[in-house]
Amino acid sequence: MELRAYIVRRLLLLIPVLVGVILIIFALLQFFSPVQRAALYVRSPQQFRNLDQIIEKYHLNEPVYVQFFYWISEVLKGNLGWSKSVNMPVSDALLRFLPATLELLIFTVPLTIFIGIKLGITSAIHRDKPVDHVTRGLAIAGYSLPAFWLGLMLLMIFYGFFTGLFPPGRLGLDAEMVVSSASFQNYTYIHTIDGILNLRLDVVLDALRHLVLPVTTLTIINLAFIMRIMRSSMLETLNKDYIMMARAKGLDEKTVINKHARRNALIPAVTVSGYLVASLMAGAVLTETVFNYKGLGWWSVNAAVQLDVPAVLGFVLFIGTVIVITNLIVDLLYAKIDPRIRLG
Amino acid sequence: MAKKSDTLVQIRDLVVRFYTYEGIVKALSGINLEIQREETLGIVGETGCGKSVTAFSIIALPPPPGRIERGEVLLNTNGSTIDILKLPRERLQDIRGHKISMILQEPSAALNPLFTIGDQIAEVLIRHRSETFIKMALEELERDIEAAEKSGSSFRAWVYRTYAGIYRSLLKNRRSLKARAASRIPFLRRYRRKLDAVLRKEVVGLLREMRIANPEGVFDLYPHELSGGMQQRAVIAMALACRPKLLIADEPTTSLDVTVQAQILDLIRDLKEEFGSSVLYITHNLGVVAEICDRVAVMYAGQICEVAEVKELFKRPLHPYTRALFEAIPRPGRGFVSIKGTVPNLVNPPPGCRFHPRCPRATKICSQEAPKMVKAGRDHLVACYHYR
Repeated sequence: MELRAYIVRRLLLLIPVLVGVILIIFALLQFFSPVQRAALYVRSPQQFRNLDQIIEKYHLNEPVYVQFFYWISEVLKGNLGWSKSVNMPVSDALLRFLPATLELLIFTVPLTIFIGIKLGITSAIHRDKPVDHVTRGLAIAGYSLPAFWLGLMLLMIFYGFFTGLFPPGRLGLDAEMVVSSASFQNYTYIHTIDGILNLRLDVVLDALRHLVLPVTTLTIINLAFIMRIMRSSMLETLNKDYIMMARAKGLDEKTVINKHARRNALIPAVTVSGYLVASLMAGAVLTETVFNYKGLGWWSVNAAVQLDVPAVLGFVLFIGTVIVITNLIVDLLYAKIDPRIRLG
Repeated sequence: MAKKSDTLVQIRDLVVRFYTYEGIVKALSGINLEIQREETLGIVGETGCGKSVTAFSIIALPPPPGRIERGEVLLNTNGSTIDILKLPRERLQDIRGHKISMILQEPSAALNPLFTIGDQIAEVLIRHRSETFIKMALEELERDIEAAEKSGSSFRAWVYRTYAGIYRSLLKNRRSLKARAASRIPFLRRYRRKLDAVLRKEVVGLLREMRIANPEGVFDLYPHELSGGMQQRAVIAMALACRPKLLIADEPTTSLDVTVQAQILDLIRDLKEEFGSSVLYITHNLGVVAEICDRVAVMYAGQICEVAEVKELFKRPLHPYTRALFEAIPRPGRGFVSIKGTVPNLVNPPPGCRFHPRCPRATKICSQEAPKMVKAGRDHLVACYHYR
């Protein structure tokens, strides 16, 4: 019951935070002239001829607070404007590019967190021993590699040298045909999941084959983050009295580490994991570009370069929501891990 | 008072060093100490003199980056003598928490914040006395099976028999694959409930012995939901769960307020009598020493300088450091008296007697050669050239 009340309270807090995000976006909007802003509401190329009508219709000449009211009601209706860089409404573009990003996320996040935590713990247990130095060295090397360079190297080796082993893009031609055919139901547009739901193993395998390199790149680059946090918080935990006490109780080292230390050390790692999810959601721009993997990152950078203002604003609003929700989940995980937080 | 004067633990020439960036800290330089059966031995000394390091080294757990360089810790149990420091890891773990256990200074830090009090106490029981409790659980299960058969519920009897099978495999092997697998399977994992119930009963009984009001409720509480005194009682329950031969108490009342301190001292004294354990009581508080100890060892800068019975020490302190300690006890109508100088840096301890730079009686020999322990009376040892 306590937990439910906590969740409800946190969900209610979501509202003011989202309003804040929207206010900031709206404030950003005010830097543009009414004519520029009218573009936000253009849904088709023909409408560009009637900008004055649009300004009139959406009250773009009126005081800021009135505009805010109208703007927010438009946003709530899901009308985020027209993204000229991809020639479709912003809301459609979001839905179109989200699945690709989610697909990357589904594989990258668990892999990074799992390996990062394991390595962090190993490193902490063998502090200042060779194992520790090697793990830390490798993690830092991975962290310092530029994504485009690592990505290109991987492509050179696994696409160029081993011809076509792990290709770029999201799907091969054959699988693309299957996915776009009428008999294939696209439930989520996440190809691996849809493939399983449609019982098309070939699609799943092809999607996985395309995922290997971008997921590897992202994992290598983000690994050090989690690993280092986990290592330092594990070292701190291992110095705690209750760890000494657990050893004094006669527990074996495995129980001491896995039961008493790990869960206590997990909280900072959870924070960073939340950040990782949010930042991957915002788009692994370089990785997506290198592997021609068209997700949110690719779309948003493309939009920014082409001064596609409605697209950028819509994207920022979306990411704001994602970050707020991620934070909520992180907080819920805290409460799940640590009984002291449940009441707070 | 020690009734039988036989030795439980004998520490011989214990040397512990800390390898730090500033250099090698000679934390303990040749400690010799005996703990008799059923006695309370106090160790007093200033912060950083090596009291706690001595205590932790007895169970071969010197706080990092400490390393035990030399020495023996001989434990006499069941007529045989073993050197704890030479035991393989597993046998060592069998002794920790079972034969020798520990209470720490800060109860709130000694309890893992993420597990309930009951969980943490039951953990010790299942670690060292699992056989007893599994047998108890089995007995209860057999009773349940009989009852189920009598009432004609064959399904229930079958379920209980399955559980009993898991317990039997656990009896044969503590890490039984069958039991570990069963713990992960829904419904089947309910076999644990019987064992948990048995453990719960035992732990609640223990908590009651610690004079905790409402032990049933406290079982399910998390450490942060208890007061400091209650937390320390829970830690004591954890330490005494297996009726250890030796209880090491590392300043267990320092962080508590005075009334609670008295209660905890009483508790430790009574339980010690009841369980027939010895207690190694570490403190810097001479009042507490007078209250609870039979014998006292005074430590200074990683060495023991005087060992005597409590009354003897209070009546006739011989070592200049001990005398200075007594002088430093604040008394009404007199200003604070402190010992001149500062505690030496143990990276480069002074040669000879470590106290000589601060000692009013020091002569030339004190800075040249460390004094040996000499007998200065019945059960009174002192390491000083000029104690007379």
